[in-house]
Amino acid sequence: MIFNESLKSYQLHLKNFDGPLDLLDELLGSSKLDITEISLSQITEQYLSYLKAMSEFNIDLASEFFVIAATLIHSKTRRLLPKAIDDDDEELIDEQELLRRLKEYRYYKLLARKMEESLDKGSVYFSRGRMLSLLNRQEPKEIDELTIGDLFRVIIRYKGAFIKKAIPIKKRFVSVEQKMERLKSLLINKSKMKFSEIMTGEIQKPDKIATFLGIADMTYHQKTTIVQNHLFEDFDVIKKEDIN
Amino acid sequence: MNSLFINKTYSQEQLKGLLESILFVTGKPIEIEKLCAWFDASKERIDILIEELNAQYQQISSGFVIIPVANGYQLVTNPLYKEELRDIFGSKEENKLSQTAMEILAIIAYKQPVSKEEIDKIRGVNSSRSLNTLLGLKLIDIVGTDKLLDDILYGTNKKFLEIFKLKSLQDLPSPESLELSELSEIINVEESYEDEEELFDEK
Repeated sequence: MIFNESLKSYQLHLKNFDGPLDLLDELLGSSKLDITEISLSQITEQYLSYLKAMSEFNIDLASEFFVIAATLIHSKTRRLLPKAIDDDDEELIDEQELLRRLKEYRYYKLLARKMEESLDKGSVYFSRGRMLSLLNRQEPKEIDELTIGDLFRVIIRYKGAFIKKAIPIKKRFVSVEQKMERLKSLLINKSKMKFSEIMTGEIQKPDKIATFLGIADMTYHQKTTIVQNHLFEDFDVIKKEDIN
Repeated sequence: MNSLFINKTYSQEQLKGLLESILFVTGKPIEIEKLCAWFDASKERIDILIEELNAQYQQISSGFVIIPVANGYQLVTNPLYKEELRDIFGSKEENKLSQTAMEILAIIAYKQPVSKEEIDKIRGVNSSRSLNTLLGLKLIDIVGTDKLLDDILYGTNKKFLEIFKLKSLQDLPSPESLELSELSEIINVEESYEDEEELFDEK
């Protein structure tokens, strides 16, 4: 197998391929694009060992790589199996489709290279005020220069802005002690109060909770008693003598 | 658009000077139609003015040259001084695109209008990320939607011509310029190329 032979295979491993067709293209090298039985078998082996090497290096492979792998294996097994007569056409389409795609890909790859050359050629000219990177500079555009593409990108960029964000919660500190003081002052001139009465001044939840805890605490420390007639009903908070 | 000089007459030299100064101020390529309208002159007349300017530039090894770009003209520096300018202002390397981006750009340039699905199919791999990069660089644009499939179609735009210093899409490196050995590999796709030629002709 060519693949295991030498340094060449190692270089192949390191290159980051631009998709399965790019890899196949590289494997076939400059060879003519006709897949004979021998070359098919070779290429399939090489392709698979490349995938294996990639997974050993923990490089993420796009699922598209495996589609081509499956196609290759499929073609290879068909070659190995005795041919059924009416099977022939199907087999041809499979391989020819792959070849056609490979050729098409190679065609555009070459054109891309040509374009790159012309980009190099173009770079001998410098224009006013833009000798620094033409590609990387962001220039403000006039309104009539704006394109649908601009809108598209802006929408993508700011998509998140239209999602309702959670309202930030301000932390408020309410101390139970504070509420106990308030309760004592409420009870100065009274012997008892309804829980609902005490709560009327407390609008926010943390205040209500702190007040409730305050009452519980004071009751625990024998400074107040509570009397409730029925479950889940309002209750009285009764002042004891030594409330202070 | 009105002509610039209804009540004035200019000598040939002054016309050249005016054209030169307009190109200088703009910096970007100016469409030939615009120039024709401003100068109230035919395309041929403008071409002659440009030719004469370029001849003068060449004679004095001027820093300038006027080149045809993006269906118009642009005043740029003389390639004679490219090395020096690169040394001072940075190299062309900054303008390099990745292989992926270049491939996608080639597919779009030669096959436009083309959908992402077609690009993906040719490359055998998902192209969204580089497609977005190219959109971001404003080299390509959304040029329409496929009526049947409702796919977004991409094409190159004016900035693409400007960066690649192409007069028009016809000036793209022709597939015939691919080397013979390369060409023999791609006989099968010739057919699809012929379709594209028709497309270019329409424009």
